[in-house]
Amino acid sequence: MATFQELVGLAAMASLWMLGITRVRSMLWGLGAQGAALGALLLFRGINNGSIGETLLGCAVIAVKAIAIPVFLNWSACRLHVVRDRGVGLGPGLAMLAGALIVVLCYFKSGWFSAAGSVSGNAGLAIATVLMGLIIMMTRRLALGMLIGFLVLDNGIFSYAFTQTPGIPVVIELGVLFDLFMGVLLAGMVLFRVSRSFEHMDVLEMRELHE
Amino acid sequence: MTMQFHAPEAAITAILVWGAACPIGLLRPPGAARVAALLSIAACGLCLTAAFLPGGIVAVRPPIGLAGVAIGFRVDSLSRWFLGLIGVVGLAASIYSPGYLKHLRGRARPGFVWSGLTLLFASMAGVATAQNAIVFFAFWEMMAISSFLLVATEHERQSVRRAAFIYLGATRIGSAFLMAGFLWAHASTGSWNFHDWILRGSDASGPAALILVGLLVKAGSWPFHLWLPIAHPAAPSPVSAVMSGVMIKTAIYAVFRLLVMGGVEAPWIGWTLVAAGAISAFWGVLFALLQHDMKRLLAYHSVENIGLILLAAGVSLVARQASLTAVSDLALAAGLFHTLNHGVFKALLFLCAGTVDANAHTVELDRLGGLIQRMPWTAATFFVGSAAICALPPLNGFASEWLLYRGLFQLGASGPSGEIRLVGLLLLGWVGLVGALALACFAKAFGISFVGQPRSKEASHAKEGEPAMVGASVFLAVLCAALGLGAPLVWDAMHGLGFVRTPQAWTLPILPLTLVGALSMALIWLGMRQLARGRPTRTYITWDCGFGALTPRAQYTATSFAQPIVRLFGALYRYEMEVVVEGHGRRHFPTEIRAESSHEAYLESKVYSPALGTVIKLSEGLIMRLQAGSIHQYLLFMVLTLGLLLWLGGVL
Amino acid sequence: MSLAIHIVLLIALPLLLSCVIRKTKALMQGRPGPPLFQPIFDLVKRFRKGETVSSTASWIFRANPLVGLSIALVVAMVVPWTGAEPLARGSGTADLILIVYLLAMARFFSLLAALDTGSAFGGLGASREAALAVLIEPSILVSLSAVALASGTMDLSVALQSPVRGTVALLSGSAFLLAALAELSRMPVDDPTTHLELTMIHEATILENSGRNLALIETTVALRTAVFFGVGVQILLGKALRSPDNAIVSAASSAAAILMLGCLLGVLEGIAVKLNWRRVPSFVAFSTALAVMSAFVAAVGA
Repeated sequence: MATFQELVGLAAMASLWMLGITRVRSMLWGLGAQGAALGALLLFRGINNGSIGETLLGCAVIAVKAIAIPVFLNWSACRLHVVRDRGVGLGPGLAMLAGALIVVLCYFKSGWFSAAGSVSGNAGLAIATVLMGLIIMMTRRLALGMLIGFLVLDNGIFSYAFTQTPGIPVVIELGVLFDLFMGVLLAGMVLFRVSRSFEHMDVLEMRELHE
Repeated sequence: MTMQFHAPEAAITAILVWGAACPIGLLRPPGAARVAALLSIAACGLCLTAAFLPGGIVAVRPPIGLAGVAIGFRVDSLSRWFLGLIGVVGLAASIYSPGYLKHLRGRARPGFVWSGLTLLFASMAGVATAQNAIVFFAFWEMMAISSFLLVATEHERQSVRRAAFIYLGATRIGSAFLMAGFLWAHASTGSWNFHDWILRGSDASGPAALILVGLLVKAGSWPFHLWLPIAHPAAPSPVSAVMSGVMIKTAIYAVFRLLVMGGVEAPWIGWTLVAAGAISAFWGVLFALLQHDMKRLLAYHSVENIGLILLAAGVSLVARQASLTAVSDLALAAGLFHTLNHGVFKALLFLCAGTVDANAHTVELDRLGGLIQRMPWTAATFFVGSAAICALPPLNGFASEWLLYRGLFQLGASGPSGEIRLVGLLLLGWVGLVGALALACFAKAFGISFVGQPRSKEASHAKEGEPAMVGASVFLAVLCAALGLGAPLVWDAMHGLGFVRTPQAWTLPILPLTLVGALSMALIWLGMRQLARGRPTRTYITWDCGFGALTPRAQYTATSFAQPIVRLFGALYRYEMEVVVEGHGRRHFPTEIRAESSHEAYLESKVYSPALGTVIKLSEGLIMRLQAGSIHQYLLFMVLTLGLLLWLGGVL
Repeated sequence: MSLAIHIVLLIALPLLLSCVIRKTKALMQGRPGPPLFQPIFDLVKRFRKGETVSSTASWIFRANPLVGLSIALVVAMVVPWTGAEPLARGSGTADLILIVYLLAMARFFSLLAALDTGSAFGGLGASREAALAVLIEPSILVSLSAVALASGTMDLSVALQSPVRGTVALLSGSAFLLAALAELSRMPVDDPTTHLELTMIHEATILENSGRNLALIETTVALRTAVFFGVGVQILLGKALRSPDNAIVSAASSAAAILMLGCLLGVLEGIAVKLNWRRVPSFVAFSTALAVMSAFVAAVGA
């Protein structure tokens, strides 16, 4: 069981790292690593329990979250000529500090969120990932950066679900995975349109849209 | 293992056949709609068969799927009763629709209607057979969405779009309450199976209240009825027939399943149902009288009849708490029987309204008239439907209302306390008032649209509907008579199905009496013929006071017919009659007279509108400041909320 | 034997009653009036005449008198309004709900028949009659069931002949008779001999009927009047009129009471003025209040 906790921890660390960087490609590496950690978690647990569904799902998660989505986003970033997200609000250092605080708090207060019978600590790390995802979204300026933050948030929910329940129905999880992938594709399309019609994709400049 | 073909299998097959017909309807080739229609008819037949087969349970536990919850179907007597209703009305609607949809050409593609309709049938059958809350809710939502699409069939009209939007909102609110109630019930019992939901006393109150509100919204009971008369008339007529006749009954099914015959018992449920039912019945029929659109009038009558059914269910519960088995049985039988009967005659009336719509191109009562000459079959079947909904003997509406009356009378005679006895008697008078109002309303609906002189060119050029359309109406009309005359057999069937414990409570010799009545009519007719010998009948114009031929405009209109009654209950709404007379200088020879009536219910203008206004004002003042348009700010709110929730969850 | 008396009274009493009412009214108005049996002569004459039917009318118009009379006949046969034993006593046929709804069916036909000819007066009469029915129906239902409550059965043939408490009988009997005045379109709600169409209720609905057709409707009206009066008398005075051993005595005393009531109505019609149509609801409300009181006494009073 310890292995699993380290994998969840790895995922949390990846998001902590992503909080502190502004280069889009590095962030995508982080995202890929996080996806891979989650996939591995499922894969190992599936093999351990002899559950075909989970093993399959693990492979699917690695394929989508660790490979397909980062590659696609990287390709989009190249086409949009995005290299850096300068950030807004909290600077990288402060953001990382806040993230660390969140991780520590959540880890120690893990009992708040843990389901009975699950490994204590996992829940906290997963919730921390969710919160850090939100903070990434808050501190990015470009729509692409926000999208990455959203994917981190989703990874957090995903890991929470898998560490706290005996298993969400595989069909549903596959469906969610598929939805997510489609969502990212759609978001990519929209980003192209946005950058073509606004000549930028700076969220700060889009406040006039709310009417 | 031998595969038995019992009711659950038949119902599942029907659902699958409907499910298969749904995508077929969307296909391009012109024959696709016909295939969908045939499949739908076959599935309705299967569904009807299922009503007569022994019940059972079929549950599939998929290897990868819902964690620990089976996709289960459980068909018992109650499910069979409602499957029968779905089958009968579905059959009539499926036979009727092809002819009707031809007239929609240009306004909607028949294929779309077929896909929606078959999906609606499938989901209703699913709701009636679901074993657990998850399956139930899945079908419930499917039903809401398919009926929403059907309401929006003629979405190019603004009024239809508005109706569809209101309907969608109402179903969302209802579903939210229902889901909350289901989750609560699951939390208290630890099971999703309806069968395991046994909650008593204070445990039951919370979930029962939420579930009841959700169901009352769906059923269109007062005070949640506002959406029904807007949404139902907007749909194509066969769809209105299915929605009014069957779909709102799925909520009644759930009321019976969980609250009346199920394990969720709270002492207040019975009286709440009685109150909601009594008010709905009166409210529905009163507002029906104010309408001059035939379909809208019929939709308001659904509110009335749902009220009567809920009233019966409530009386049954109240009587059971007072251990009056006979009364409880009577009321329960009245409720279930009326559910079936209302399905039949309301579908009949909506189908007739559809035939009128298709052939006279309007359902505005004040533009119709004299259709009995040009559409004799439709007129005859509408007449039967009207008589049935007014509970005139010997039709089916009378049979079920008689059971209700008898239940109320027995409650008055044998109730445990003076108050309950008095309430029983007064409710009896109340139902009588509702009945008299319904009679006035249908005298108006039939009298203005079918007899007299045609009030518009469309009405004077109307033609009889196609054979299949008329056939479907005749089928339902015959069923109205059969269910009325065969009421003792229906009681036996309900006894056999285990709804009631009293062996036979039907004390009316309705069949002999009908025969005697028919015989005496025939004798009088023969006598009259004898007298008529040598004294011919002269056909002449209607008496015109010597002023020259009467024009159709001299006739009473729907508005003027209802006016004396409408004035009686003026305290419940604002009723205004605006009369404009032009050319006042010549008092006796005005150039133009216009009279327009308008009404506005105080419930809407004094309760719902201010509530909505408050919400809008709040959102303008407070929310606009919060929603400044900055995504980062929204995200900050989300983080704070999440943190707060986590903290609360941890501390509490 | 008792049944035979019922049938004889069923045939004779309604005609006699209408004669009595007409004659008393004339006397009250200070004129000798036509011969006592003039209504019967009129009826016979009308039955022997031809008829004129509007070209707008459909089968509903033709069916209305037939339906009305046969329903009135069925009701008159099974309800114990004469004090003698009715047809099929105790079989549940004289169920009060069934009776009320049979009458509602007759009303449904007459409303539609009135609208059928496309005449404005027909619409006017039908509209008012429908509104009246809305007012009357609860009162009739509640007062009858208050009476029936004591015997625990809705079968009027049993309920009307079983003992009822005096207060209940008085309250519901008066409620029923007041409602009956409105239901039968008598004074002070409606004037059956009016000549101005705009003030008519019942007469306006049958304005287009003539000859045999009209005669059928008039027979129906006479029959219904007698049955309503009979039921009222049975509720109010049933205990006094009934003599257990002698069917002839109880039937004769009931018939006498009904004719007395007819005289009373004649007097009323001679001295009363027709109510303004807008004031009719408060008149019927009086009947409804009495009915509710009778229900209260029957249900709560131990």
